[in-house]
Amino acid sequence: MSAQKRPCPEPESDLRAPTVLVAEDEVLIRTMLAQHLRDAGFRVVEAANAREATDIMEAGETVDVLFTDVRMPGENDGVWLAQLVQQNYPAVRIVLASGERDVGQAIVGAKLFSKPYDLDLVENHIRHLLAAAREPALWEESD
Amino acid sequence: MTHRHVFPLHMPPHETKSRPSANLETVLVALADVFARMVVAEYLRDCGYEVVEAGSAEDVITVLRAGQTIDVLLLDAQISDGQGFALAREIRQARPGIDIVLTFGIAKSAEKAGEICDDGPLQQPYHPQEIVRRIQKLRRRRKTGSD
Repeated sequence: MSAQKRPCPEPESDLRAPTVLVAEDEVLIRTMLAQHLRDAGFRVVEAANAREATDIMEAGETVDVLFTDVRMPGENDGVWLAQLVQQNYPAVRIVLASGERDVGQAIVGAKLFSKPYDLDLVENHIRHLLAAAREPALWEESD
Repeated sequence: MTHRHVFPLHMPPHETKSRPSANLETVLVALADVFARMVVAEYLRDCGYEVVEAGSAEDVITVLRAGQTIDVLLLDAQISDGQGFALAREIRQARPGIDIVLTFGIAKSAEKAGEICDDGPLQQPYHPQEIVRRIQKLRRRRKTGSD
């Protein structure tokens, strides 16, 4: 067997890497995006459909950003998932992806990436969302 | 008895892609249960493996046909309504370079992942509730830097 036992490295930092939940039914696209984001320093949790994504959220997994494909097989699609997360987990930032262009306004405030999308642009957008989330709102600033 | 191919694995990949990181071995974790898949995948990544996740037999076929370099396949025998056995048999024929670890349910998946990783087996018994606890433990470890 080519796989040999490997020592598990100790965590290097006590800072939690931001977690991105990638909900995408196309395994190659999901793997490619997830790997890109992991290489960029994010922790990535993968879901193959809306049901898996909601199961992960309901289990209490900490998620900072939901990246979801709009069209996924199963009872519910990505728009349903995004709306559910927006309602129940308002701190979670949402990003949409779709092969179609007419669903961009389905979720107010959520950017839509049309397939095929640029992985660097997705990464940058997620960084932007997380940076914006860390900045206090104007009405929260103290003098 | 003549074995009839069910899965289109005898087709050559369109092109062989280089592995994402040349020095890492890649494990394809094919488990239907999202929690088991997530925990086992994260555990193996912490052990230093590249991991590709698949939730169905169709996903496994898609990954292999795409030319992704896979060293080990951790495959749930019950995946996609029990297609795991047939899928494993065909992969052994079509891709003999892939080591296949066939598992039977969540507990065995955790045990086999522990055999690959030197960190030892995941806690047994390994019921779904244990997986959630394991997720929480992983989260705590990432937050605090302690085990």
